[in-house]
Amino acid sequence: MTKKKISNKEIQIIEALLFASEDILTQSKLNLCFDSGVAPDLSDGIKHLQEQYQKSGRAFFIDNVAGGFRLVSLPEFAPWIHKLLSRSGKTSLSKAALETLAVLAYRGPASRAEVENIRGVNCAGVIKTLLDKKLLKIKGRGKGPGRPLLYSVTEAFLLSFGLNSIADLPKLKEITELIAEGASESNFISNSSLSDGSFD
Amino acid sequence: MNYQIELNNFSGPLDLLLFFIRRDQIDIMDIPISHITEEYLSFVEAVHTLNVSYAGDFILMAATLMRIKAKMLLPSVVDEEDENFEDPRTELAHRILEYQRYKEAATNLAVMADDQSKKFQYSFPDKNADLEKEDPEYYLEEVTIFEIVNIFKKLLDRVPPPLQYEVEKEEIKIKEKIALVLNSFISKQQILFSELSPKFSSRQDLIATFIAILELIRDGLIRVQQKKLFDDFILEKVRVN
Repeated sequence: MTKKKISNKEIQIIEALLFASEDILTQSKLNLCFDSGVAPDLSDGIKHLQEQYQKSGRAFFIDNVAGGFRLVSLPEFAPWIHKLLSRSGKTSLSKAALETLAVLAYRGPASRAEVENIRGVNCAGVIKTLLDKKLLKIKGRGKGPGRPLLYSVTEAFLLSFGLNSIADLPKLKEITELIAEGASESNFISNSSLSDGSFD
Repeated sequence: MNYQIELNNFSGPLDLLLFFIRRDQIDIMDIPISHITEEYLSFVEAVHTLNVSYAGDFILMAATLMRIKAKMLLPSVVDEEDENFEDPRTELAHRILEYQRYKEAATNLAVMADDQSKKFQYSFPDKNADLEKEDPEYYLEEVTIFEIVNIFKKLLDRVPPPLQYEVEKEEIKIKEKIALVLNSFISKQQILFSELSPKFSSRQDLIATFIAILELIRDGLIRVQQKKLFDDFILEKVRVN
């Protein structure tokens, strides 16, 4: 496709679609809304809109997440929106759930045994909950004994954690880094509530 | 000893060990195993009366710690190959470090989820959408295997238990059939396959007879002829010279 300059009308169409869309808007969804071959370049339109919003000081912006775009309010206005929707704004994921997601996001697809090996605890319950929440999905079966089910994170995971793709996850720390950190931390008292008790 | 820490705050035994290591500023590559084991055990003792399934993983770790402790108490036999000497604590240290990587990643994820939850997408209360959702493919889109299995399981639960049938196994011996076929030749040299058929009591019986015929052909005792395809066939006894 040869690149042609996006028209004002096309930018407006993209804006309308972003406004009305329930999930994220992608190029392929945009293509469906136009006759074949004439759909404008989505990221081109997004760039224009983003600029307009910034210049005119809108309370919303376009979030690039899970491989698509969506129109969302700026984070700084969350307190008021929480009141309006009467929500606490606390994320409901437990430590166990977050750890399980972390292992599967970085190492997935992986079996339950692999997750349990790293976490040192039974993960059956957590995995079930995360499947129900659609943050995990079954990706197939492994080659190992018993051909265990393999799990991986979903698009809903990307959406909830604001990632455009798995590749955007912050890099996992190297073990050597952790050892070095431990050494430099040793004259630093970490946990205030517990540090003063005598344990003898 | 009174700890004001709840085990529920720890996502697992590795998390608990990591806590001790940080609190006591322990060098992870040189864990004072007997000190840590003691700490760990007194902690877990308080718990395992509370939550059995959760405590299992903690008890497993307790066993691991005690095994390492025991190994370290044993005098090491070979000291010549110092380079190959494996510290029994190394494996545990690596597991804790590996766990720590993901624990930190999980903390990052929590922050990311928090940031993300501050962005609100306008959700259009689309009443027409329900009316338009009649395309069955629409429903298929979002279903996971897991859900299908669940639904299937529910369906199975609803099905009444199957009636018990007792099927008696009929014993049909090929040898008997061979004898039967050969007996048919007593009075004549040729017989039609259809002439044998009134004697069949069941499908299995017929199959057994057919196998018997094949056996006889292989042994060269009879010959089979057919005039045309799908026609009845003629069995002929081979004369033994």
